[in-house]
Amino acid sequence: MRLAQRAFDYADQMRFASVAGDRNPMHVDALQARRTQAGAPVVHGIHLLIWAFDSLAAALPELPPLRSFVVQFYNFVHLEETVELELIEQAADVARLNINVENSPRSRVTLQFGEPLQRMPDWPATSLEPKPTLSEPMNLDFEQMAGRSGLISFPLSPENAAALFPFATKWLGAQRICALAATTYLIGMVCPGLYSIYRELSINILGEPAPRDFLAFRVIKTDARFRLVEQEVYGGGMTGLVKSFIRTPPVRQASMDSLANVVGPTDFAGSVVLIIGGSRGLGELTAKVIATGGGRVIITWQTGKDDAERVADEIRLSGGACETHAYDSRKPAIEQLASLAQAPTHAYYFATPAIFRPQSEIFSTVRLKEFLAIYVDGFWQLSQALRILQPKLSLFFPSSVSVTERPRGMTEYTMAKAAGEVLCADMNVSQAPLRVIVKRLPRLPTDQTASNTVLESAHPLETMLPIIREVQAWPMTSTAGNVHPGR
Amino acid sequence: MSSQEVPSSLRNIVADVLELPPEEVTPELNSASAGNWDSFRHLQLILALEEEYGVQLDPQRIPELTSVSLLQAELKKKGATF
Repeated sequence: MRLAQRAFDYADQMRFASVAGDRNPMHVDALQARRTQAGAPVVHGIHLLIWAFDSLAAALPELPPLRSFVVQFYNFVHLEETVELELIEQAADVARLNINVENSPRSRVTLQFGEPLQRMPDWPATSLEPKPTLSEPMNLDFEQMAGRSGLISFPLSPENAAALFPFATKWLGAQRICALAATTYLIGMVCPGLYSIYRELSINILGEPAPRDFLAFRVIKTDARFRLVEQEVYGGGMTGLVKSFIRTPPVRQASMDSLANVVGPTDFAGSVVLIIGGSRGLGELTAKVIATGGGRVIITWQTGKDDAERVADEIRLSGGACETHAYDSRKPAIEQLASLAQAPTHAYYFATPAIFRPQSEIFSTVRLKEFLAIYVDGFWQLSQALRILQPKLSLFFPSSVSVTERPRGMTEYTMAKAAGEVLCADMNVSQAPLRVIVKRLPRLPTDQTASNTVLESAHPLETMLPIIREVQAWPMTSTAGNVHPGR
Repeated sequence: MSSQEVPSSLRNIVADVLELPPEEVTPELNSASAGNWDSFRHLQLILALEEEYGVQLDPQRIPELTSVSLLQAELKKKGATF
């Protein structure tokens, strides 16, 4: 039975972050969030949970007292996604809720009803050291997690709890809502802090809520294999266990200094190279390699201007030539390239939408269109615009081993990459002297592929360097680097 | 093959994490055939199994344990008793 439906927008997000104190950039900073596995800001899991409790209490006003619950956050919920709360089981003493997006569960809540427990924690929760209130998340190494403990004040006030979640507050009491909200502050800001992902909360409700408005916490287990941190919590009329992951920080590509050992200073001299999506990942690496070899690079950005400037600064500081240029692969190419000072002799196309997104069906037409718009139409538009400026253009189209390996859950991505390969093959037949190099890249460590599980990935430089040499080997014409004909 | 060939404790954990009826947990069930056996649930499954059987699996092997029969064999190798 569907109990409620809504989408969380940016204003909702900022309001909750403000009152709950969890301003982790994964939730509130679009630029930093794009460099996480989520790829864009995500709704606080605890916001989803309290909304679910509020919706449940609104739909079923005669709910019995809550004795305990477990919530597992399986997958991210992005802003503007339509979220549905589904009651999938209800009995006298138990209920199960799914928080779904497009019928795919993103979180699951199991509730036990009954009189609250009177058991107190068997650890000295109330005598821990109070922690100062943070406006920026702690940036701790994994090794620093073990043994951490403390007391944090509730960022959410009882008044705000009652105003934002009236039914849940009436059902569970304001202090318990405040205590739940304090767990997202704990995970997102205090411990683990900056690189956290909230995974699971298991709570026993205690009798009358404690009068003190604090949450005590202590780390009881860390597991380096999965970068997992488990903490006990106590406060506001509840006690329990919080599990979180420490996500991998944004992937750092090779530095200019290190590349000087593998690329000669004139290996790519004379080339003018446009790198679509050059502000991070493989685009960043490609830009640095070519600049190290004496090529002039133009890196484009769609949203990550600061990231693009950081890469450009690093290249310039090493004596390389680099410009940045705004470019959106979903918009007409000719207008966007009109302001280029020089006609590119080579171009690399690393534009991509978010690749990994959960969905309930194996195929979505909408998703396929998203991928085709970037991988096929965007590439086609770019190549035709550049071909006018430089007929003997050398292009790189990154395909994927997914075309042969066919991993689960990547149907639309794989279809679009395969379609891109077909387009490139036909361009090579019909549009000489333009040449497109297509390679099926293995899984490489980038922000999008970063994972908490152990997954095999190839070395980016070892993979890309031979490809770059092959793309750059295509002979340039005498007009290479000349002023844009249209200027 | 039937779900009866999977030890009941293992069957129940897999069913719980993947939200499947226990009778659908056969030795052949794998990440390709179970719709929601994604990387996150795989991790949930590994953690739940380690806790249940008191064993620790090798990080290098974990991504390869993508079927119930592979999980069962690896747990047995690590000394789990069903």
